[in-house]
Order: sequence, then structure tokens, then C-alpha cells
Amino acid sequence: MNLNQKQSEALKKFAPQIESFSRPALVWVYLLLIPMAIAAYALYIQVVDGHIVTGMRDNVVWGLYIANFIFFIGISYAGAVISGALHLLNVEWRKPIIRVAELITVIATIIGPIYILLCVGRLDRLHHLIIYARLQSPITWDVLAISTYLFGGLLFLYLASIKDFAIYRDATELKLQGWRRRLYKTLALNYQDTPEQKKSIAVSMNLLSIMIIPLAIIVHSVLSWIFGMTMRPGWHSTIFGPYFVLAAIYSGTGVLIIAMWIFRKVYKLDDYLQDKHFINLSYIMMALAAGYGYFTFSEYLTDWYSSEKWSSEVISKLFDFNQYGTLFLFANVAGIILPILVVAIPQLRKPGIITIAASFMVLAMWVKRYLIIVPTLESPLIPIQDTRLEFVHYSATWVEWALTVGGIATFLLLFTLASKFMTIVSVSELESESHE
Amino acid sequence: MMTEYSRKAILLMIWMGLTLIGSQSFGQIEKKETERTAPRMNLIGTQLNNDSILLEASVKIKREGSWQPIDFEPIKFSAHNDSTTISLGESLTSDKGIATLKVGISALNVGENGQWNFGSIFEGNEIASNGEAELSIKKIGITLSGEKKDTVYSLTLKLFIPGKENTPLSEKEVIFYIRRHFSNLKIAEGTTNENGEVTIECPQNIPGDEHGNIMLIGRVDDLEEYGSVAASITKPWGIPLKESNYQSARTLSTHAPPLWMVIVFAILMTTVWGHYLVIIYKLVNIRKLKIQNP
Repeated sequence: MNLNQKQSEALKKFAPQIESFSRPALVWVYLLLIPMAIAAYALYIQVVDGHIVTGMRDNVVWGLYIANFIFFIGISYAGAVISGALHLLNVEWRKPIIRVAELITVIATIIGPIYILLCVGRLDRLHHLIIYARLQSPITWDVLAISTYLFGGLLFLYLASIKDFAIYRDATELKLQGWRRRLYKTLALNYQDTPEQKKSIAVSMNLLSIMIIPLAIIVHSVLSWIFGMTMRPGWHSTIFGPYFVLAAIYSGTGVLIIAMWIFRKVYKLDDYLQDKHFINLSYIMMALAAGYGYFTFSEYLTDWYSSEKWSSEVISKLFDFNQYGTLFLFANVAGIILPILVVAIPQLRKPGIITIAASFMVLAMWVKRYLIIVPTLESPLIPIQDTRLEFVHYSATWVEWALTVGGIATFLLLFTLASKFMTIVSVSELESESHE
Repeated sequence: MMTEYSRKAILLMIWMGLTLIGSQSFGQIEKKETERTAPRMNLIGTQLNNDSILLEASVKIKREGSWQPIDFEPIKFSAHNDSTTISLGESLTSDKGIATLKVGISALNVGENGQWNFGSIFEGNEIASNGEAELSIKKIGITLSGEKKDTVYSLTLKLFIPGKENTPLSEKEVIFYIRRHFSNLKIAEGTTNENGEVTIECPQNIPGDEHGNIMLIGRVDDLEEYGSVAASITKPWGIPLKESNYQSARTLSTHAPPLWMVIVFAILMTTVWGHYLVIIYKLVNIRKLKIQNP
């Protein structure tokens, strides 16, 4: 493929990123391997000794793992909905950020379901999910929806990368090993930028953009129905589907902002990931924060107003500072008020501050997932009688924390490796920009 | 250049983060340090007609001007006579602060004065100090029988002190109930006569199970020396419960999914995977397009 000036400049800029691992990059990878190794040991302990090494018991059967699962599937929305929607709307400023967004989608969708496996007591019966699948079970819906979503995310990332693979294949100035060039050649599918090929990819991208948005909504709705279809206080709610969907897009936007800021700093991409990208994303973040705040208020107001016994019990725990009050307050201040304030005040609308607000928001959204799960499970419909005291309350163990940190480290490692395999900004999109 | 607003915003965010990390550990409920107060404990026993005793220990503490139950705390029960103490078991208090334990009288030894002596111990928690309560009761006899004469159903309860002559207990207030789902329904009350007996007429309009069975209970509370005593029998004197013709099938319990679900599922999966296949076909075609346009 012929490169125009803008492409050549971009390729030259990104060459060190994809040609080799710098010493700091290697140190970073080794640092990530430490929590991953600890997580592997924790997993070994869990497999050998069973789930007794976790804080999960008869009453609180879900804990950190499920919170992580929802969190990772949630942030996968960054690519699916944000880049899909911006592609359909043909928003010009999307181009430098879609690669990061799509990578978040694929990697988070791979990591998230692993936490479900960690929850399963009998992994040797995992195949029963398939051979004894029941269409009327929300668990079956989840298995089908997430696998379909992962395939769609991979396809979306691949479609958007074919032109770039062709550029890497043909770029003689890139110092790549032979196997890598051969791999790029295979992945590029003989793409030569002919009008027919361009049209074929454009049609496919449009089709997938249309598909991926409802698919992502279905996936997170199904995820919410695992909770919503039960009669549990705090879960049995008709707005749980849209509430989960909105929260997912919201946290995905936050992770996208954080990832962009890190890559901008590490690879000095100020020319590509500009202030306007952060500010535009922050507007989206603020709108989502308002929507999320509205859903949160509606959810708790109706539960509180009805004064139904079990719902009141859960709410009292969330408002009690001796129980979950501090976490609940943090989830709402950092998860709703802070992002709105930061974006609403023009003087604070700067990439660094937006990123800090997004970081707090993402943490708050994780806390929120924890608060959805644990207080409800600690408030069963049948009173906890004649049971061991440690079964009544959930307390995460080091094994669960190690596997949680290990999952985050794996996410970062896969992201790092992906950024070594392809440029973090789509070079071919820059070409399109110059023609438009 | 960082503005003053920016600096303040960053400081605020860092403070919030430190507050979160410092103030809360996940999953562990923070207990506020408060002065422990002495609880009020009470132990009552109800002798049942199936040769068992139901022990109920209640634990409360005075907070904010009222007696509030201590819930989900373990209570240890024991029985002792003049020489030995045996542990009967442990039970958690309910949300009303009451722990219950049913013990068979065959496992109990009677003390010198012919009494059973029970103890209950609460070992204290963060807000309440330890406490204990004791109970001494003598064995009492109770029978409950039902009889149908013509169209009248009558219940007779007899109260006596067991022994060679089974001395009847007269002038005792007896309350009769029918067991319902959530509590007992009071149907009558009466007083035992010189034979220790009281007879009442049982209502016939009470819904029972599918066979019309209802559980009838006669109960005498707080007898001096004997505690409470209760007897129950089951009789087919209720109105048989007819199964409702309308049965809402629990979707998860059905062998096959409902038709609408199969249709929706098929449409969704076919649409999505159909699009995937079209896109994969187009990807394969990209190579051919190159060949056609070398």
C-alpha cells in the first residue's frame, strides 16, 4: 500500500512501539508477572483446597469474583457501544481512539468470564453448561450472549485492523522479524486498498456496528437478569437491565479515558490523542453520569418508599456507616457527583483532571458492583438461623484479592502485548482523515 | 500550567481516595467501639406432649431508651442436676433476639427436688456483656384428644401431675389454637375442671391441607413450678384445600422452554450469527477481489 505523508509520519512515530520491547516496557511486563504469579498460586490453593479458602459460604455464595465479572464485562462496552456508535454516526474525532476502545472490548470480554469459572465449585462439570443447557435458564443466556459478544468484538477489532495490517506488511521502514511480517501478510488478506476491497470492509464495518450495539445491550441485560430474575431484595427490579447497560457504558468510557491518557503519556501521542478527544469523551462521561445517577436514585427511592421488609434491610445496611455506608457514599460521590462536577466546571476540563475523575469513577463503579452483590446476599429471604456465624457475613480472603489483582494485571499485560502488535492509533484511519 | 482550581480538585480527589482506603475494608463490617452494656436474659420452657421440652432464651439490651433484641448471636443451653451439668447445644438468636432449642426429656436427669434445671448463657459481643438465665420446672402431664359426635367436633385437654394417681390440675386457663402458616389462630379458651379437663367445640370452617388436616393445639402458659405446657394433635376437621385451576408454571422448572422463548432465541441468534457469516464471507471475498483486480 502506498503511504501518504501523514501515514508515513504516524508509522515513523509508532515504529519504536511495535518494533521491539524497550527496557522500561520489559520491566513493566515483569512487574505485571509478579501479581499474576501470586494469582496462579492462589488459584492452585483454591483448586486443591476448594472454595473454603474463599470468603464465599452457603449464604453469601458470590463475592469479589462476580463483582469482577460484571466489572470487566461492563468496561468491554468501551469498544462495542462507544466506537460502534461513533462509527455509525461518522463522528470524525473517534478515529484516534477506536483502536484503544476495541482492544478494551476484546481483552475485557476474555478476562471477565474467567471470574465465573473461579466461582464454579466443580470445574470438572463445566461442560454440563453446554450438554445440559436449558434455554429457560439465565445462565444459558449468559453463556450464549457472552460468547457471541466476544466473537463479535474480535471480528470488529479485526475488521478495523485489516488496513493497518496491510500497512505493516508493506512498510519496509519498519524493522520487523520475518515471522511478524508473514503474520501481518496473512492477517491483511491480500488487502491492496482497491475500491472493491474498501467497500467490502466499509459495508462489513457498518453491518457489525449495527449488530454490536444491540448485542452489547443484550449481553449486559442478560447479565443483569441473572440478578433481576431472582426474588432477592435489591435485585428483583425491572430497571436492572437498563441500569446495568448504562453503568457498563459509563465505566467503559472511564476505562477508555484512562487507557488513552496512559498511552498518550507513555508513547508521547499528544498529536494524536489530543485534548479535544478527552474533552469530548468527558462530555459523554458527564451525560452518562447524569443518567446513571437518575437510575440509582430511582432504584433506591422505590425500594425505600415501599418499606418492604427485606428491601429495607438491604437499604439500611447501605446507609449504615458501621456497615456499607462509607462504600455506598464513595460509590455515589465518586461515581456520580465527581465526574459531573469535573466536566461541568470549565477550568477543570483538562485531560489530567478528567482522567483522575474517570479513575475514581471506575473504582466507584467496581465498588457499586460489590454493593449490589454482597449486602443482598447477606440479607436472605429466609432468616439466617442455626447457621455458623462466619457464614452470615462475607469477608473476602487473600485468595480472592490475589486473583482479583491478578486479573487486572492480566488485563494490563494483554493490553501491553496488543500495543506491541499493532499501533495504538489506527494508521489507516489517519489516511482516511487526510482524504476527507 | 496547573490552575488553582486544578490543584484543589486533585487534592480533593486524593483525599477522597485516601478516605476510602483508610476507612473501609471490604467485606468486614466495621464495629464502632461502644461501652458494653449488661443484657436482660430470660429463659422459658414449654413442655410438649411428645416428651420434649422447647427452651426459648431471649436476650435484649437497653439502647436509646428501649429494650432491643440482640440478633444472630449464639446462646448455649445446658441442663444440670445436683452433681452434673450437660451441654444441650447452641442456637443463634433470631431477629427478635430469641434462641430456641428442643430437647427430649429422656436425655435429662431430674434433680433431688424432682425438677429439671436448665441454664442458658450468652457470652457477650461488642455491644453487650455476657449474661445468663436459669429455669427450673417440674414434669407435668398433658393430653389432648379430639372426638366427633354427630356434627360436633370437640377437643378435650387434660392436665395432671404424673404419678401413680395422675393428680389432676384444676382451675388452669387453657387456650386453644389452630396452627396457621405464620402464627397460631386462637379458637377458644377455657378452664380445667376438678378432673383437670377442659372441653371446647372446634370450628368447622377452617381451611386445612388438601386432605382437610389441621393441627389443633392446647396451651397453658406460665404455670408455677411447671412452666408452660402445650399439646397438639392433627385431625381432618378442616376444609380440604382445593388446588387452584390456575397454575403459573415456574419457567425455570419446566422441562421445555416456552415456545415464545424458543422463537425469540432463534430469531436473535440467527440474526446475529447470520450477520457474522455475511461478514466472514465478505472477508474471504477480499482476497478474491485482489485476484480479480491485480
